[in-house]
Amino acid sequence: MYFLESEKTFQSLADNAPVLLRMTNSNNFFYYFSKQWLKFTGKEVEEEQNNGWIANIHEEDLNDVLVTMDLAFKRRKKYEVTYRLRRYDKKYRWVLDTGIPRVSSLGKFSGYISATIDITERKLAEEAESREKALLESEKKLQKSLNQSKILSLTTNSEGIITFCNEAFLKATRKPAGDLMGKSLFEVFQPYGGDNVTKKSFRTLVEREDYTEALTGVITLDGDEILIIRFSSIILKNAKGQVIGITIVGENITERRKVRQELEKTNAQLKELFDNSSDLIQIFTSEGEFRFVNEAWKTKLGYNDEEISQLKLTDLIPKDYQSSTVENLNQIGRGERIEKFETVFISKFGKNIYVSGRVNCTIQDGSPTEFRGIFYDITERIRAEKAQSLYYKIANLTTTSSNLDALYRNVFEELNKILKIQNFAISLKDEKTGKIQFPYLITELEEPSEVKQLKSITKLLAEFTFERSKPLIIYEDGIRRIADNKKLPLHAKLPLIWLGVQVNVEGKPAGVISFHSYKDRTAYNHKDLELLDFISSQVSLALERKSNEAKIISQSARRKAIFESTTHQIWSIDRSYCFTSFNQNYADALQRYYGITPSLGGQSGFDFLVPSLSEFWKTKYDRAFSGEIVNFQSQVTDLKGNKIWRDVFLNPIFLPDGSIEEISVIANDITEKKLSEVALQESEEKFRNIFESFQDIYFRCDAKGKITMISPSVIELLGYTSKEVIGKNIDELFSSSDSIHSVFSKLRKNRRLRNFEATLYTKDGKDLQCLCNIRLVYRRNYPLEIEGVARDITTLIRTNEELRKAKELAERSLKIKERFLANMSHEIRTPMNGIIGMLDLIGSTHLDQEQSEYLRTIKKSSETLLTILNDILDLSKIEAGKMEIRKRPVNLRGTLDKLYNLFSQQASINETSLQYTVAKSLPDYFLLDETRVLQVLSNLTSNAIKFSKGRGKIYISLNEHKRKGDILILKVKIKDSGIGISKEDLKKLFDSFSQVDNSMTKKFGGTGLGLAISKELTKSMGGEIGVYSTPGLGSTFWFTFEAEIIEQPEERNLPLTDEAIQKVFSKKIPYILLVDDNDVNRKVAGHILIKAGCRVDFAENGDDAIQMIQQHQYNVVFMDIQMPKKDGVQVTREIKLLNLDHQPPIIAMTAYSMEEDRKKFLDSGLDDYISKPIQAKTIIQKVVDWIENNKPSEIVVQKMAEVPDDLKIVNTLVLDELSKYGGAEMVESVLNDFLKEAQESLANCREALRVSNYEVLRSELHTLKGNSGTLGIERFAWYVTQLEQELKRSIYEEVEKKLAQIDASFDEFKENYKLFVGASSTSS
Amino acid sequence: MKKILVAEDSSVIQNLTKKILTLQNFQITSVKNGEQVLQKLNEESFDLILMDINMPVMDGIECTKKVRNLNDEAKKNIPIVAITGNARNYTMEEFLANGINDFIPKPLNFDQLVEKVRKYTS
Repeated sequence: MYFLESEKTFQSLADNAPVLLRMTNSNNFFYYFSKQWLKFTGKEVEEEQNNGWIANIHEEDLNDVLVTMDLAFKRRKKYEVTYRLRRYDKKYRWVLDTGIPRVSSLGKFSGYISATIDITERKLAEEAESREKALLESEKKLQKSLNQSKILSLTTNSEGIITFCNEAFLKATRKPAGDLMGKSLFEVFQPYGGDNVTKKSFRTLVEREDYTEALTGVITLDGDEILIIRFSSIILKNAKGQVIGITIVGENITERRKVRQELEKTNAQLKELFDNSSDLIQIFTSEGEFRFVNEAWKTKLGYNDEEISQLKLTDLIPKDYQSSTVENLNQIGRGERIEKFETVFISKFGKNIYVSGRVNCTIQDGSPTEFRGIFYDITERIRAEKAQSLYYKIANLTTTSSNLDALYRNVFEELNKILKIQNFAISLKDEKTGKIQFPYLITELEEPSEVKQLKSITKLLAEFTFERSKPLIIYEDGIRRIADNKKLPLHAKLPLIWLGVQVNVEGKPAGVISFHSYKDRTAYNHKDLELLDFISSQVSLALERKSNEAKIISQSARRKAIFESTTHQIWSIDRSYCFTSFNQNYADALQRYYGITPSLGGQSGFDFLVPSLSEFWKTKYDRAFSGEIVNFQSQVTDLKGNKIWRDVFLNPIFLPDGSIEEISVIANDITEKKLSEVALQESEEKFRNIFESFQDIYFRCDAKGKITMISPSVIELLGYTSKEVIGKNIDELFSSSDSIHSVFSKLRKNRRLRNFEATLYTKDGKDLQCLCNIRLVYRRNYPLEIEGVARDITTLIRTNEELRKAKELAERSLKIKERFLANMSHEIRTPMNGIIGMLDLIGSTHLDQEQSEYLRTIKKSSETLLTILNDILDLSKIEAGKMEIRKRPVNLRGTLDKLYNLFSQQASINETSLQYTVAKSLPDYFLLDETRVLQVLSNLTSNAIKFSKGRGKIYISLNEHKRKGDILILKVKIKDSGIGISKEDLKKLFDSFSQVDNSMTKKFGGTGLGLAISKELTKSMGGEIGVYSTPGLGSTFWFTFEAEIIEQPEERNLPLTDEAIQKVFSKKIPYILLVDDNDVNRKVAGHILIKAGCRVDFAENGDDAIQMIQQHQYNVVFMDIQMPKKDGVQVTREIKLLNLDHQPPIIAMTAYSMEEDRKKFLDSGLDDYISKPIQAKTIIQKVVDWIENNKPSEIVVQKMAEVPDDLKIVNTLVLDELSKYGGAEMVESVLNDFLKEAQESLANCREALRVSNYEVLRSELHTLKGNSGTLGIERFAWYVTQLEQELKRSIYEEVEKKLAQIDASFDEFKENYKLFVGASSTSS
Repeated sequence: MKKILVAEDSSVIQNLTKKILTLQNFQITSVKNGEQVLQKLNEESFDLILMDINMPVMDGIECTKKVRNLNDEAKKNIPIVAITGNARNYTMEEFLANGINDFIPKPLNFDQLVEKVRKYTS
């Protein structure tokens, strides 16, 4: 009750406490949750009871919580756990939950009371803390992990104050943590041995900031026990990298010390017992650590106590024996008995000690703890056994070893198997010099100086052995004494024991076999010496045998070598001419020559020879048998028909009594030598012939240029004899643009020089132009030489020069021709037009039939001539690349209309019908050069008409061929039904000047250029041209061209060209008097006026005119000014004086174009003025003006429009002048300059005009005038000058129109100037 | 090598004279107006000035006057030859009065150009 009471009180308190409280019952089930708890979790008590509260724990923490609580509950200990607990708002909060067991006053456990507080803020703060904490955390982890390990560890701060000791450490030191914590490291550890933990060493550690090597420290435990710890340290650093402490990881090595002490103790106890035993007694643990060994053991194996304490059994046993030994021990460990335990120990000096004995062991708790072994040394027995086999093996080796080196090696290896020798020598005395050499030497020494001493000692001891003539064992002191006796200085260590045995060959001492040890004075004994003695005898035997063999081999070999190795054929014959011996060479030779194999005895030396040869040889042999040495060369022909030459020596072999029973013959095959002699002779002759007949100069000189050889041709070319030249230096004869020196250096670089030109001096001092090829000659065993060939190229150069000149002349002529053609055709065109015009006029007069016929012929010829001229002009333009395509908006249908109009009449004359179609889909307007299209069309059409006279139809079609956006490729086909063209002719159809058939040209007329021009034109219009034809059936010519589709252009008044004169006057016919002394002028002007519908009378001079004007009522009089008797002014004056009623206006016609003149004429009574040459439009306009308006108009315009005839677009004389100074390039560049600047200048003019700034305009014109005048751009300059002058006089009439004329003139220049650029390039 | 300053507004004539005279072994510097002539003279001296009369910014007559008024004895006496289309109809007397030593009419005659330049630089 009381308890309940108190519990209730507690609960009421708890509900109000600032912590969340819970309680468990004695079964550890939480049954009570304070109000604060429930408020926190937002749940009801019922929900939380029966472990329902656990659902509030974050799943990651759940395991932790349950384990912690479970552990605490079991032990009824306090618990403390941190976890995330879900709050009413579903957020997890970090809480610290502490539970303590409740114990009633009666000591009875009644459950836990747990208090939980929200530590989220703190936790977050913790988490937000710096890396410092994280480091501490890691340090803690380190400590934690150290705590769990058995390794001793502690942590100090940087001052060495201990801040942490792990469990293992505390356990080992048997001290409570309190005793160590806070203490200085140096108080806790006492110095021990060399690696002390001192303040100094500690500081070094800190400074090094590193993991360090082991240090040792000692802690004294209660009761004088000490703990020895060897430790390594780990430096701890804070976030700033400063050292904040050291963690020391230690290893307790006290145990090992203890063992030693134990061993020592036991040793002392057992020593007496076992020391007198010669058996090897040892006690070792199951780990193999020795607890005890007796004195005999130590002596035998050579280890001291200290070393033994560090040793384990297995360290002593050679690898080969380890597994069997361990297996045996295990057997014993299992309680089994082994009667005879055999194993091998390795002594400190590396000697194998074979032992046999008994081993037993103490077994505790079923496992072995301690083994006791008593062994006796059976090494000697084993050795004896091995020696036995060694004797056998070595005896065997002696007989089987092919060479001594192998024998020595085998001897050493066999010996080593039983004796463990590391130093072995076989010293042999040289038979002749008596010096000792070492055909075989094995040593453990490495230092060359030591090895050197070893050799001298070995020699010394070998000599000593010879002196004593018996096997010897010499110890270190003995060696030293011997060395002292012989005054051999000793500086390195000496063998402790040395065994040597003499080797005898043929009863004489030949050498010594020895081995020694530097480690163990007792390593070998007299038994080993016996063994060595035996080996020595075997080696002696072997040496003897080898020596004998060598002698035998060398003797017979020498003989055989002489006999066989020679390339000579050697044989001997006896008195019956039979072979008594022959060498292989001879046998081979006979095989080769005659296909026989000679044999000894019985076979005659000339069985195989033809009789003549047998006789020959018999004679020779007989001479030799008479005691003469015979030498001759013999020639035989072998089976293959090759000639073989031999040089043969016959030597009689004199027996001691002076008789001759045998002859030895030595023959040498000299065929090759013979052949090469012949070949050499031939080639020398060949070379000599070439050399002698060489036309060029062949020379050879040394590296310094001294001529060593020269062909005899030198006399023909230079006038020197070979003798005169040889020995001279090459630069006395030779010069080139490069110096001799540089020629040589080029030679060295390239090894050869090809085709370089040089001048050679002839004897009479002339220069000879030569082309040289030189190379370096490298020949083995000869000094460097230079050889070369020089060829006279004087003629070649001259010919080249002439050729070049001829070519230049031809080119110049061609250019001149082109220019001439271009100019001439242009020039001829003008009079031709006059001729044709006049012919037309004649045609309009009354002619009889014959005259008409003549006239037609003349006209036809003239037209042909004009066509030819036009063609030539076109072609020369095209060929010069000066044909320009000028695209203008064109109605293509109109173009074909024009074509039709042009040719329909001709076609009908030719009894051919002409038809054309334009594809309906084609638009009307294109941008193209109509003139050129029409030209091609005309060409093809006129051809078609020509060649299909009276043969049906010509059909022209225009279609779209391809389309690229707005660009169309149009295709025109002109199909005729004419004579057709053969295949061969088709090929050359489009070439210049090649009409298919010359006779055709004659028959049909034409230049034959039409198609060539058409081809070029279509090409320049982006098209092609072609034809397909069947002879007899007709041809279809086709061509394509590019044309850009455009909208219908605005109507523009294009400049009228050669417009047909229209009949202007129809109602009232003007009556006109034309006064001109020049017949042509009269006719031209008259013709125009007549065609325009006028009635015209002509007067040739002023007087006629005065008469006629009185007789007729003329409406207008055109008066030439320059007339021979009376000039036009005078005549006019006289006419005016007549005071006629019907006085007609008198209009002057003159070439004078100056403004001043105009004024003068008008002042003189003339009514108006037109300039020559007369243009139809102008003159008709004048008539119209005076008849209809009775007044003059636009006189100025007409006048201004006329340019003096003699002005050129570009005056080439000026350009030639210019090119005189700077060549064609300058002309071109200056013209380009002008083109650019004039363009700008004209633009400026336009602008100036727009703003009516006449001063600027004038200034621009002034510059243009100067520039164009300077460059001979005359027509343009003229226009510019006209306007400039007017502006200067402040005449501002029709400036715009005049500027347009200037522009037009500039365009004219632009179109033509390139022609002149090329044309003016000839003068230099 | 004699140094000639060519003052010429038109690059055609400028380049032309430059090319012709360079080939005749003269060293040519060209400028476009009178002001640039004075700037050039400030930097270096010349053996002859070929001067267009009709130039923008500062015409040849004005420029010549300024040259003749320079302080530098050598520079102020550099011969000046006018190259001119003579738009203003100057007489030879007028040229001389303005300090111009001689003139070459436009259109240029190349022989005359070379001849005059040689005359004034030898």
